[in-house]
Amino acid sequence: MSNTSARSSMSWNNDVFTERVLAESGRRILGLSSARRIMVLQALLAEAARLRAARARAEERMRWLNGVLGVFTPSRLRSLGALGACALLITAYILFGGSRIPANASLSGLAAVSERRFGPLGLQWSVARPADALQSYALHRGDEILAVSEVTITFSDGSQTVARPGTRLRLLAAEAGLVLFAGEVANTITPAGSGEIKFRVESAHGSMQVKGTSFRVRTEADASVTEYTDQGRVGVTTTAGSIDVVTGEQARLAQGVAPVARLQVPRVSFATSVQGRVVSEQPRVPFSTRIFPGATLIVHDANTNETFATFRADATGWIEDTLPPVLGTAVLRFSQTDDGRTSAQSAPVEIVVDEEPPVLGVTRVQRSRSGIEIAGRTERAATVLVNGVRVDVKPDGTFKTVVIAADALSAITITATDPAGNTTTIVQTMQ
Amino acid sequence: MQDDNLSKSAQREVDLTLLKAVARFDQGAVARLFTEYEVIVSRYVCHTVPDIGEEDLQDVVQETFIGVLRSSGDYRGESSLSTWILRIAHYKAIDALRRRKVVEKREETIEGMSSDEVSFVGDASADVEEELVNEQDIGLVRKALASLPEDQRQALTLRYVMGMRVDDVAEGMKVSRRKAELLITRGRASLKERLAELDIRQ
Repeated sequence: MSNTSARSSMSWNNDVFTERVLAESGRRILGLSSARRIMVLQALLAEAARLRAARARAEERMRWLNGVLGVFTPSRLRSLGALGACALLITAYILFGGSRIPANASLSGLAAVSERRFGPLGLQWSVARPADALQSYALHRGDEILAVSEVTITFSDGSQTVARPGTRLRLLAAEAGLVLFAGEVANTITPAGSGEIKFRVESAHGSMQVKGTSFRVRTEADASVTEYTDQGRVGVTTTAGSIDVVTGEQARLAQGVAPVARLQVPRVSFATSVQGRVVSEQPRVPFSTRIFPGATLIVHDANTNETFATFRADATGWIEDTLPPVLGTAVLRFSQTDDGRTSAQSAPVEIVVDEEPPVLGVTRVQRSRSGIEIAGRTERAATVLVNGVRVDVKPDGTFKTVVIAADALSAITITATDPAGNTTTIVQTMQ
Repeated sequence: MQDDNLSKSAQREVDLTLLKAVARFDQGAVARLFTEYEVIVSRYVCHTVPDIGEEDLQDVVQETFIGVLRSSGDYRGESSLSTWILRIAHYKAIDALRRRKVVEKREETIEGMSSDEVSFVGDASADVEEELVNEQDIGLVRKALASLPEDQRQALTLRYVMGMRVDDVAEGMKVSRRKAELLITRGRASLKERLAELDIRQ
């Protein structure tokens, strides 16, 4: 510091030197680090995309509004006089006026919403919004929703309704619940502090008052509504009567027909199920399901329709067990039976037991300037690790990679793992 | 002078074209704008908020460019694009200062600051006139600059750190050319006094 001070005492009186230091202090700031620069740029591009989408939506609304207002041109208004002015005012009131009643619920997902508006003298009408990706969109009583993607409606008490794509529903205007016009909703209800549950689903064919915590409702092609519970109990009412449906049961609602509780088709879960196909390295495949309390789960061989196995549910309807040994491949269906009642069979599920380790072969080991090239072949769906690093496997099962020479001084380990979890390892020693 | 005016006018045309594309939220134009102006915005923010950390700098730079994005439709080419962007950066930097209450605490903070804190993004290997300008000189000048009144600091930063002409400084600060000259002159005098004080202390 002493040499700086000695020089500075004179230098700071030299304006040129001070200006040079100021300029240099700017030049030595090179901006953000690369990582932070990328983060800012990504945020900026995301904001640009968001603003562009918002502008496109605003322009679309303006075009629509101009289309509406275009009807009321000055010349037309002049020709219509007071009548035209009134029509314009009424249109504006319909579009922007009226009041909305908060429903203390929010929506997330891609959906089109029709806003319910309430006017004087009990007048009500809806104003449609185009489909949009909505996040925590505040819903109001009477709002109608068309789910484009899977949509989640969260109520202030934590209860949730998940609507599948294509579902059309409307929030009830006077109480917690909804009207289901089409599609399927899964409802998980949070009881109030008093333990009381107030949530109603209505359809064209009847209504369902929840008394449990979780239930599912869907409409079908013949316009009837099937309803069943995952947990608890649901009161089902049509114009011809009402019943309670419990775990493992379903009821079909139709106007003028008394509802009857039937056993539902079992939904069986496997740890490694992908699109109806289960691949396991163990011949005894574990599964779980919930059916009617105390009922029997029947496992059918789908090819012969013979009974493959049976399992008895506990008092809660829960079954967690393993299937009898499957040799190679089996196609199974599931149903349940209890006290003379039997459900329909489920869709077929293919079980593939694969105890064989995957085929693995090394076709080339070659030193190159960049390292050691390794090429080989394995099963189509296997994953391959070379010295612990995952390598892409082509659809024909071949793979190729380069191992840096320093990582392969003594040996290269190649491991292939098939979808059932069987592995084959080859250790390639280097000369 | 005529050539100077011509090149200035040509540059404004380029700036206007770029900002028109940004105002359409064209991703390529947004990326180009950011790439071209990120460093000068960072430099300016670092001199306006002297003890700023890298994370805060990132926030201010991001806020600045988002501000540019949102008001890109308002740019009319009346000032150079860099001046216009730095004006937005100035407001964002002042907001950051206010948020962290650095304005009130600045006098105490100056004493405790090390030159490292304000030069974290600096290139330690820079050897430009190393014999004449070293890190200690830069640290001292930054401390002195940080202690000046806001308008003088802004004028000196724009004029000498950012290398702007007096006309552009005036445009950037939205003051007359005479006022800008006055701020620069006063700023230099204040800086000289402050440097002398700091030098004696060290």
